[in-house]
Amino acid sequence: MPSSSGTSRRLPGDADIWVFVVGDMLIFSAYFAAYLFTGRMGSRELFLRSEQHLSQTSGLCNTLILLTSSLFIALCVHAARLGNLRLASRFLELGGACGVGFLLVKVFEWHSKLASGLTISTNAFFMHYYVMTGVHVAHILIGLTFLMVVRRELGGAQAPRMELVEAGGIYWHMVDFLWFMIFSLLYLMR
Amino acid sequence: MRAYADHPLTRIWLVLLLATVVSWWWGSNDTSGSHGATMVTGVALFTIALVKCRLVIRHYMEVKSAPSWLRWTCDAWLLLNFGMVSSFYWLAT
Repeated sequence: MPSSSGTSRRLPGDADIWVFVVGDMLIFSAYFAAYLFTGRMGSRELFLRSEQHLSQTSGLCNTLILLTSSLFIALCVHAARLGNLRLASRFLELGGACGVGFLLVKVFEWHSKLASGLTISTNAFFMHYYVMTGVHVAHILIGLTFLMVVRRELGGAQAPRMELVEAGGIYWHMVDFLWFMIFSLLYLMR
Repeated sequence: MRAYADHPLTRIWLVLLLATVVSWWWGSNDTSGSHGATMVTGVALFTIALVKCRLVIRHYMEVKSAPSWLRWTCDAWLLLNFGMVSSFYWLAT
């Protein structure tokens, strides 16, 4: 627990989850660089035309959904730390439900693009769009699996291992903030 | 659950919500035609996203109370992304 004086420091989760999370952050940054290199330096007009086909409202909905899920997961960790495991489980379920909501919006968005004939092979922009959002969806699925593990931990007979609960939260928040950047790069920035 | 309505984590969520809606509105209504204006808007929108990332990292991931190596690593990553996006926009202008 952080000290009330704020002078002692502690690592949330454990070192392993941070190695994984920081590594993932760097991999995403490299991919953002590749996207910007193609879009800003190479095929700018093509990217500008293609970006018009994305629904900014759909991106906004998904951002609000993930933001809310992150709040629930942060509250879950807080409640678990205070020993209120029932409330922690409830928050965790609400956070997970938001994650499922994100997936539903994304599937609807992909379906509308595919129905309009915009596939991964349409052009370089849509290749980046499907790969970037697809890799992110894979992270959401891994995150949901992680949340199920945390749910089981919270519902067990033993006191939950807080490192595991925190690690699940840390991973989920990373998936959340990586989406902030994808939303800006793909949907908003011209 | 009601006790959390005025919790600091909930207040952070409200700030994140507001920043998201502002950046969406700005991005949706951006009619700037020149490369210079596009660069300013693009970098500003990305900066808002990075500020949101930092709020999540500091408050939700609890990095604000983590050892300094982790705080510096996360801030360095945010700066790296800011530098990367600014550079690409500047080079393309």
